[in-house]
Amino acid sequence: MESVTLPADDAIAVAINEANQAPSQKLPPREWLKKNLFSTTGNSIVSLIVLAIFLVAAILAFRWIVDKDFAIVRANLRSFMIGQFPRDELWRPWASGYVLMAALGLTSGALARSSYETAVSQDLPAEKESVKSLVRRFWAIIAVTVFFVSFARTALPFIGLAAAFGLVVAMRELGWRLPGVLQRDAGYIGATLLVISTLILAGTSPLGGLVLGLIAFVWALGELGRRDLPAGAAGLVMRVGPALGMAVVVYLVQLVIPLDGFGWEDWGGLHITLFTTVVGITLGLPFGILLALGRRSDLTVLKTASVIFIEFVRGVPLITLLLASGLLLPLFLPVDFDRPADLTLAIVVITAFSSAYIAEIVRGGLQAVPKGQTEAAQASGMSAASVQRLIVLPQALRAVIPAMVGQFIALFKDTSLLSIIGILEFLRVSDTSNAQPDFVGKGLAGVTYLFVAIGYWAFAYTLSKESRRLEVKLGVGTR
Amino acid sequence: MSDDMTTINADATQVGGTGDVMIDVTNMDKFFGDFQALTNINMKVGEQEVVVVIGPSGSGKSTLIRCINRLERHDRGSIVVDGVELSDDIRAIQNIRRETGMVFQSFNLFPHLTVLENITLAPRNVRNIPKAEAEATAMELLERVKIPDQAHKFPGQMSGGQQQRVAIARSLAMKPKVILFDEPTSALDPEMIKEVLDTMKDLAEEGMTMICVTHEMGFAREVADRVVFMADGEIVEVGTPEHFFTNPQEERTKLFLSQIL
Amino acid sequence: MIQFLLGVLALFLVLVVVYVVGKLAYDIVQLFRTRASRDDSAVLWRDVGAIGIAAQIAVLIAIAAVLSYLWSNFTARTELIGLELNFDFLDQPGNISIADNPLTPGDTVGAAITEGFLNTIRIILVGIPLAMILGTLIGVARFSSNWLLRKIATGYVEFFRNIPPLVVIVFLWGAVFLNGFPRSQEAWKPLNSWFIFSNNRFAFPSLMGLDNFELYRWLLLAGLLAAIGVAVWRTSVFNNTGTPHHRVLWGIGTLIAVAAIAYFALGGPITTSKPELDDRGRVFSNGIRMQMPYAALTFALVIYTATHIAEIVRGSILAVHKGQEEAANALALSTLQRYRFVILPQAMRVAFPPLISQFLNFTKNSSLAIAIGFTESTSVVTNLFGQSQPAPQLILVLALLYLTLSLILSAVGNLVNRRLQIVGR
Repeated sequence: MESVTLPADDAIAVAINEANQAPSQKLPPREWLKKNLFSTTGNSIVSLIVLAIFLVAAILAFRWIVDKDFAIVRANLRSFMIGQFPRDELWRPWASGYVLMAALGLTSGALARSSYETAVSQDLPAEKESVKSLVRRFWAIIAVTVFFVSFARTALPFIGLAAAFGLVVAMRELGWRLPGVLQRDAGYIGATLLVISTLILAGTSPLGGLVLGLIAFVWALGELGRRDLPAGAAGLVMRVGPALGMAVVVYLVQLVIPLDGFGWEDWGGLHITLFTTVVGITLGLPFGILLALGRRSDLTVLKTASVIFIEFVRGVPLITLLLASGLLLPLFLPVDFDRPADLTLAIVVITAFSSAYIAEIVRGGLQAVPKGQTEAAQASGMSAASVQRLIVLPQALRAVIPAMVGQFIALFKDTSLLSIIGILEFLRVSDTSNAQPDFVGKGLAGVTYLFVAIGYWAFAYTLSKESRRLEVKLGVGTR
Repeated sequence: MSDDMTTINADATQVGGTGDVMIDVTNMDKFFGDFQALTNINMKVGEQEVVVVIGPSGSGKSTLIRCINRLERHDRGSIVVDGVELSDDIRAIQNIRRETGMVFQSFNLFPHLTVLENITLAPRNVRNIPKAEAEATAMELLERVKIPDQAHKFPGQMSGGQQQRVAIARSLAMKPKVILFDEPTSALDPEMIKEVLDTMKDLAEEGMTMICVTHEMGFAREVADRVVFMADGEIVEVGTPEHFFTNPQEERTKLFLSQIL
Repeated sequence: MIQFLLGVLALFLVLVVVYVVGKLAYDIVQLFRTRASRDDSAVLWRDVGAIGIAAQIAVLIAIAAVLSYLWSNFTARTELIGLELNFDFLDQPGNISIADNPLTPGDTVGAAITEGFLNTIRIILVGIPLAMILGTLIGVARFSSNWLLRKIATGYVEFFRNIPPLVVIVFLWGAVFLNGFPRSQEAWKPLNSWFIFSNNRFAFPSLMGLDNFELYRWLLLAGLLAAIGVAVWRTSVFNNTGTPHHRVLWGIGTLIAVAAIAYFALGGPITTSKPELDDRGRVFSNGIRMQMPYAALTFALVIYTATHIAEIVRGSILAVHKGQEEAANALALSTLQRYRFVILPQAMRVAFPPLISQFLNFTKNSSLAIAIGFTESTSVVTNLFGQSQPAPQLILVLALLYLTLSLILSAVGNLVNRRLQIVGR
């Protein structure tokens, strides 16, 4: 089952990108109407029919919405956001969210600055991004957040979120203004903040450990590609050292100050949806890269094993795999091992799932790296591993960033399937709310489903726009 | 347009060839958005005449010939081809396109059709010529461009020079009264340029009316009846090849020739 | 069927093992043969070929070790809960019944799964063509010169593409179909009750054969052949004289003429079948009857998949190089001819592979039926879990069914795609 989709997909993506960038001209309203709606008789008829259908649909939708009681959303807003998280510990999600926002703002600011500097040094047009353009890029998420918060019963969440937005902007500004030395290491600061954010929420529970390990791992992985560090053992220490050091420090800290927190069995709602997606992609990435390399390997054993795994996972619906996570996976554990939480099992399966899809994306990227690159690297005497690590993979991974964002969106949408195996994620809160005594049998499923749909939409839409933006920026696949 | 513009623009309306006018462009302007690509173009091409258009890149040469068969819409002035005025009337456009062949810089052969299908597509579907007859004509044309053995290959299997000769055969198959060449050799490797130029030379000798946008000065000197020099969207100078290459009048022409010769 | 698929799977696994081990053995023999034939060979542990083989053996051993460890855990656990590791349960009674299906609780597990699988096929066969039609229309609408149409098509794509298909399904099911339509006792019967809409079932009119129906069918077949004949004749006229063929119009005309003449000659061999609902509003009969979950699932997947197809259609047309359009224009081809001969054949080649992957996604997404209780493959299997049938084997069977569908679809896709590829150097 050789996949043949990538080159054609690329052609389509490039074509669409070019079309989207076509300039539009401004006309006075009268001429604009004539040109765009009533240029010919046929066109006028089409316009009127479409307009009529659109108006009827809009009126129907409006009447349907006005008719509905949104009390069910008001009563369950918290559940939609964080599921069953203990209500007397609400400071944790808030605090961890703030730290996360700070990390996000800081690193994005520093990154924007460094790409600005690069552009300036190469005499390319460069401009600092204004808050206005940020708002334009993320308008969907901001608008939907405001929409969500409008269901809150107090003004507190609104103030809290406004403060969070302010924090992102401020931290972004700070990241932009960081002195040069710190700037390069903003990644470290961001990662440390990320760790703190996790610890606030999950403490040093096994989950906290996992996330911590993940962050350290991704950090180290990023450092491996750095070329400004020396090669050899010293270089390896300098690359992996900071991440390892951070993990050790956190471990030592928790020995002195025991941090408590809540494992993901207690999490839920939109929070667990986003978390599962991030973890699924992060964990899936290294496995995906290995599978892609395996599939392209000359070694029969590696190739066969990779192909069978990838095609099996891709040939089967996710729901089948999720059913297997609850019913089949635990049977492979040693007899004296307790059954892990459902979500743990599901995340194992989701990781396997996303790694197979990521493998195909990475394979496409590897294919796109010209053969001459490998040959040139080999000719300069690099070892096979160095050729892959320093020459081929960086180019391939850069080329597949937009496709990876696409996979992130797909997985984000796919996590809704967790509701079927009984995990209280975003979509399932809708069902549990409709089963509450106050709302059962009132036919309010439409209201909660609509609410959920808008939530999914805001994130997926913003990300898909960002992915297209990245594609243009990276010049992926341009002819 | 202001009057002094008109006077700057050289007049290319002295017809050569048999003396009958095939293409008549009068006071033509072309804009791309706010950018004026062509300014007040006046040009006539006589039957059986070969006009070579030269000039620096971005001077509007290609735009000019693309306006003649309506690949671009001109904004002001008139274009008359073989007595038919080019307007928004679809029938006029199709009539003119039927009588006008075009050869592109990047060949633009249809990659999913064989050479024979490429050549017979338009005669069969536009001119309603029977299949056998269209194929016989196509084979004759392939003979003429010296690649008769390639008829059943796909464009992707041929060299650039061969592809461009197929493209010439394709436009000849419609039995056009005039052929427009848009830098036909610019995308070719040096060793293939000659085979295409030779084909074009043969065509000129057979009396085909041609407008060629090209950078091949040798071709211009040898084959052209008239050379038209364009710069900044205007026709700057017009003349016979001898006059043009030995005794250019305008500063811009001299500068251009000194850069490329 | 299931036993057959299991047999194929077993055979496949054996073949893979034989292939891998055999290739490895062959490589080893080759390695030593090469080394023996050359006297400048490197020492064994620095020989490039030997390193590769050693790595493969190491990986093979590692995989085998992991698998055997997992298998030992698995057998220990299944023994502990008393699960038998065989496929005999497929022949046991399944205790499953499916709406609108003759399956009885006494039928075997295997039969129940097969019926579920057929329902999966029913979703695909109806849904994919509908999604193609809707997607193509929307994709083309995005090229419209009409601003309103273009924007609405864009809005449609940008909205539905960015919400999970499961949400579309449950929304259509829970909000629109269950709550938006009346109970069947108060069913909505528009157009003089030729259509019946209720939150239990949709029913549409259909055609029904009468006395001479058998003969009429044969005549229709003959008409179809005649239509093909006429089309061939028109093509040859076109080839010989160059007159435009219009073969599709001629063919359709022939078919309609034959159908009409035969209809009157046989005195009306077919009639319409009007859907009916009994007085208590329970039992539907005649016409085409559609189960509500089936309709919800199929329409929702069509709505979702159409957005992706629309993007593919749009992108593939955009991907045809601009020069192709110009060349077609320069040759005076009409707009229709330009699309028919130049743009669409090339766009199709670009669109085909991603379309196949959308069809695969549609197939896989049909398993979401489980969320709204339409009994297709996945739902049957989960129902069987409830009947305490063995989960591990059932999941294997389920995976196998989808793998088969995926393999068939992508094999056909690759075959067609290979034929479509443009020849190049």
